[in-house]
Amino acid sequence: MSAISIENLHRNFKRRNGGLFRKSSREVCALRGINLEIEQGSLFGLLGPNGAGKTTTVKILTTLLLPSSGSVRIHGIDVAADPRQIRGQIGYAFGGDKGFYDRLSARDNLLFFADLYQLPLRDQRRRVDELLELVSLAERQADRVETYSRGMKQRLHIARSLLHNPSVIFLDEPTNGLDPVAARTIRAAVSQLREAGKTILLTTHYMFEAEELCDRLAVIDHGQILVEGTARDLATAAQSGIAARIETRGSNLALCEALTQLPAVIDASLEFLSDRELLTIRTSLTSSEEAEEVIKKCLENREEITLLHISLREPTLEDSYITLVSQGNIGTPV
Amino acid sequence: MNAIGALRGITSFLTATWFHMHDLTRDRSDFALNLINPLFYACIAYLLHAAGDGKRNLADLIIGAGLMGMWSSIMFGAGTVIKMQRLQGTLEFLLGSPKRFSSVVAPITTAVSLLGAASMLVTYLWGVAFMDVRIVLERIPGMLFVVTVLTVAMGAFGLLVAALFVQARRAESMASPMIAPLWMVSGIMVPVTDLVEQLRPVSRFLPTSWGAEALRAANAGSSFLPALGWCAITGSVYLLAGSWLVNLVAKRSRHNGELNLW
Repeated sequence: MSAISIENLHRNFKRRNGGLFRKSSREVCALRGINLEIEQGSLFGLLGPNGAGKTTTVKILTTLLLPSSGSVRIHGIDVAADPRQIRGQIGYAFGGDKGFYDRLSARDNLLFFADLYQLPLRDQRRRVDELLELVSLAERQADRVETYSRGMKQRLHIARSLLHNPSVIFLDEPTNGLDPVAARTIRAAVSQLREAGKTILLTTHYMFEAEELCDRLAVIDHGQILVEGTARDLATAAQSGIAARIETRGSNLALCEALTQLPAVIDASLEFLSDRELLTIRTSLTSSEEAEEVIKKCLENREEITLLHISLREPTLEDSYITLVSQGNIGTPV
Repeated sequence: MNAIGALRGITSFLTATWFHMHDLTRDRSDFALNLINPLFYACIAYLLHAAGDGKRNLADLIIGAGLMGMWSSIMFGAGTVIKMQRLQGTLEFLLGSPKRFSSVVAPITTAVSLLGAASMLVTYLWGVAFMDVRIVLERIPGMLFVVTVLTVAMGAFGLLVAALFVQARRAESMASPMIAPLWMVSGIMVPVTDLVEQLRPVSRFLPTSWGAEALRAANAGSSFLPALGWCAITGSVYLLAGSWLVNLVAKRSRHNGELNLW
């Protein structure tokens, strides 16, 4: 059964420009007919570049924005028609260090939000204690939030989103800007939530994170879902094949352009290191030998380039994502 | 709503008001400024009294100065607090809660109004300590009762101000020029009877006019209940109008997506 059902969702914004006398406005289309079904108890990843429409989708799902058209249902309840009923069943945590009364303690903040989410008075303290323990902030609970690190604030965001024990949770870039250790703690907390049977919609820029956590994924760009399915489905839709990582001396951007002209090459990028260059090539080829041959053939005619090292690997989710977004493919939903 | 529901609502309102009071008073310099500001109004009132014919009741002038401080707290405070919620990113969490937006904002404006009441109390004590205002102990309970009702009424008025600040990012530019006319019209600087005739009806729509009248009556030991009753009635009207407006601007923001709330 679907916990979240989105049908033909559109959202337009009116953007106003100009000053006092010369005003103009234009309509910006942020979402152009999104369709998604998210199963109960699953962890769904929404991927996309900045401005693709991820946050707008989450804001509509969390009742903070109304859709221009289309239908959004959570547990069968229309989000636009009955926002207050939905709010008691969903929790959300947005990335970043805003969203708290910084001059007050974590405990005071959570008690306030527990009341806001209409937890019975007798349960509030017990629930806040449980959650502070869960996100490992019990020892710092009396400290002002302004003294917290970004990672601690992020854990506090997650604790807040769980206060009223919601069945659906939205996590908008929860590990954005965190150091690797803090990000790993957050990912562990998200895994725990999935194991507890929560339905989770996660937006992230980190592909390894999506690959590690999510059951299903969708790539969104320019307000449209490009493709939806498992990580393997995304790779199939992107037709991404072997990726090569090549260390050279003497490479330049012209080589990248020449490589992208080859039919088997999807994307090529160049990174300048101190004494060498790192060339990353994504191909549509499934055979490593074939991929190596194509690349070497392209490089052998260029005398100014010295090939230092070449390594080949199977495509990752990041490869599929980059292929999909850079080509603007609209794959068949799986 | 049954009795348990009502009790729960009141408890929740008081808890939230206490939380916002706690938040507003954590910045000691802001809090101190809020208390000190009306003392200057009181000093100006005292100097004008000394330079004038001295016929005005000095206690009335000091009460007026305290009320000026309360007005400033509401006009700036209720709005600034909303602006602060936006800046610190809590406004969208307030909007996204299962409660009505008005019942989430009301404790904020009431907390601001309580700060106004505190500044009024400090001003009165300042008058007692340094300006020969005589304190009559048996009149204090009546005055405290008036201040309590007035605080709630001003909190309700604050909902209107909060709606303005939720809707417009630069609402200070609108709120700021309104303060001085409201001081004059509401009868806190001079009694309503001293205003030009055309302005008198306007003052009848403001809870502070009735509150000022009730407070002066309580201080003089005369009957303050009729004026206080009108203060409560106008406050209730503002509570209804403010709640409706706050809920309306919240809905508009969700609909228009003008990013007013975040």
